[in-house]
Amino acid sequence: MTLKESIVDINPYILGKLSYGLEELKNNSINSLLSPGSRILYKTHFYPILVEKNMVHEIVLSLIGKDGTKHPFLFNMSMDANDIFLTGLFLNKRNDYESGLIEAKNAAENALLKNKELMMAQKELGQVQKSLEIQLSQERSINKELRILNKMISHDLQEPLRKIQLFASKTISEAKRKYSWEVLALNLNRIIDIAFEGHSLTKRLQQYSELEFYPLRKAHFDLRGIIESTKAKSSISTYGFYYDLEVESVYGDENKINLLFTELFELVNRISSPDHAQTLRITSRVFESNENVLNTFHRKKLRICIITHSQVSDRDTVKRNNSESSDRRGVGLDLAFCEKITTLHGGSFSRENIGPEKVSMEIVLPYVSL
Amino acid sequence: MSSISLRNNVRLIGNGDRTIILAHGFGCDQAMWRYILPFLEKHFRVLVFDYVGCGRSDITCYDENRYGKLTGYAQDIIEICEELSIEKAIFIGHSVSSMIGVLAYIERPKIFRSMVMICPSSCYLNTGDYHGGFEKSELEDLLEMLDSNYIEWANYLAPVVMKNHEKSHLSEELAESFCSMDKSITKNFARVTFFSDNRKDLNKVDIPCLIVQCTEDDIANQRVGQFVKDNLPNSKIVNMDASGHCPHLSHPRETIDVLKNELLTEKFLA
Repeated sequence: MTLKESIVDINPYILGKLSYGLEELKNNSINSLLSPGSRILYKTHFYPILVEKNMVHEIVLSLIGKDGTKHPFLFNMSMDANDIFLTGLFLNKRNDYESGLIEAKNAAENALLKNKELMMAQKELGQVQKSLEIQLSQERSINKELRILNKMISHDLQEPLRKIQLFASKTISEAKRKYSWEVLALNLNRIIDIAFEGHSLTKRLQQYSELEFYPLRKAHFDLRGIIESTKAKSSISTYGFYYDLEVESVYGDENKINLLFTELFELVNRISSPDHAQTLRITSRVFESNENVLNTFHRKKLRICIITHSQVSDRDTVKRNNSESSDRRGVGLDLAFCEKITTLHGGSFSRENIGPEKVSMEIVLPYVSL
Repeated sequence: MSSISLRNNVRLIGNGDRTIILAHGFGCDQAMWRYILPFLEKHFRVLVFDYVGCGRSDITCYDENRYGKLTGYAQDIIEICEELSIEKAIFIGHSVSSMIGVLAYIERPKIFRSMVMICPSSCYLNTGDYHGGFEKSELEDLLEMLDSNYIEWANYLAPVVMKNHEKSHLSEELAESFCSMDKSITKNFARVTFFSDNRKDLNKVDIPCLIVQCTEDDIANQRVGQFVKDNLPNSKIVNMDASGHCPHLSHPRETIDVLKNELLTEKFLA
């Protein structure tokens, strides 16, 4: 060919394969012989290489014969200052064999691709399943909270309302019987008290539901310090606090942990008899969790154990606090607070009766060393 | 070098005030520009790059979804421009890169001031009255030919190249890896290139455009070139004496003359 790709000469072998005479092709462009795909590939890929390197070896191009049949050839091409030379090897039989190989290779590649897609789909399915399990667990936890709230509302809130109804009816009937103003005032005071109780319960419910509205502000703080300050503000009656703290520093939201201990002391108060006082033993230990958590950082947990021993109150030795607890209504809500706060920290709370008048309460939090 | 520059093997040459972006076409890489680079770098800052899967790009960045459309390649150009803070550049695209440039401009108009399209085609398929040059079956023949040339694709060097980007001996490798391509990426690029239809995108380009048309171009014929010109609102066509589909390689002198006459004008530089 010339540099402009006009055919100068073709050997009889190739002419024979294409069923052309030389005169029919002489001075025509090689492009007229190339199949469309070969033409694109030659022009966009092999021709630039030929210009750059003056040669290109072992390329497959199809030439179209006079009868329109495609004939694959393996070409070596070279170029000098005047001409382009093509040396072609007819590939028909070899091409059938190679086509078979290519077909098999493509089938294998497709199978691998499908296998890869299947593996990916399986992986995605696994991830979806995992996320569904997490969602399910969250749903369970929300359901549990809702049950607690329902219990609060159905029990604690109904009771004040019932009492309001009772005392209001009593007041009316007494007013009809023209009782003294003192009796009426007494009944009205009772109604006010009960209304206050109902108000304080709904306030606590609001506080409970707002616990997770604000993100935790975690920092290290002193465990003993927080227990002591909470104890000072609480109405708990105690014989004494005994500490055995392996770890004194806790990592978490100080305000919320403070609230946790406040609720915990309320819980202790609530479950013991009015004439009893508590002896509390508080321990803290770090342990390795068996949970399947990839991040080893979270495998270490801090267990804070509070064992309360309730005894009949001896007025001389019992330490009493003057704090009022009248605004802390809601039977069982203190337990819900403890569970919620520990869960928000990625931990847990449990309570167990371990003997007569003896209760063990356990707070487990992720451990982060100082 | 940043991840985007590494991904697309970006090189900046020359020190002109204005920037020219050279985008290679299907089947080759940035080495295609080597004969006209000496002229361009005298007057401009020139940015050359390889599309992912071509030349010395980072093949690991290839994403079938992203590069399953020409917009994925256009996004590469936008990202390169954003990373290098390039605005108002002159874009020169060869073959399919002309349409990639059109898509990049539509998406982010501020990056180009003017465009040069060498042998462009907005659609390679014959459809209705439009004569793109190829029937669907003929383009499928291209995919078969890509399969048949398996030895060619075995020479693809990009993954090796990527790790040795800074080393000097790679000039030798460059000659060896000239226009090297990954087979499966090339097949996908071929599909995306030759089965795309960007005719409706042309009239969204309002900046000055120069269409460089070769005689006897079997890939993008003169009717196609004229169609592109007719549908670009602010365009001019120059018919070269050069034949073929790669005038900047086969006829660099004439290509430089065209660029000299047309590019260094008020209209293109304004």
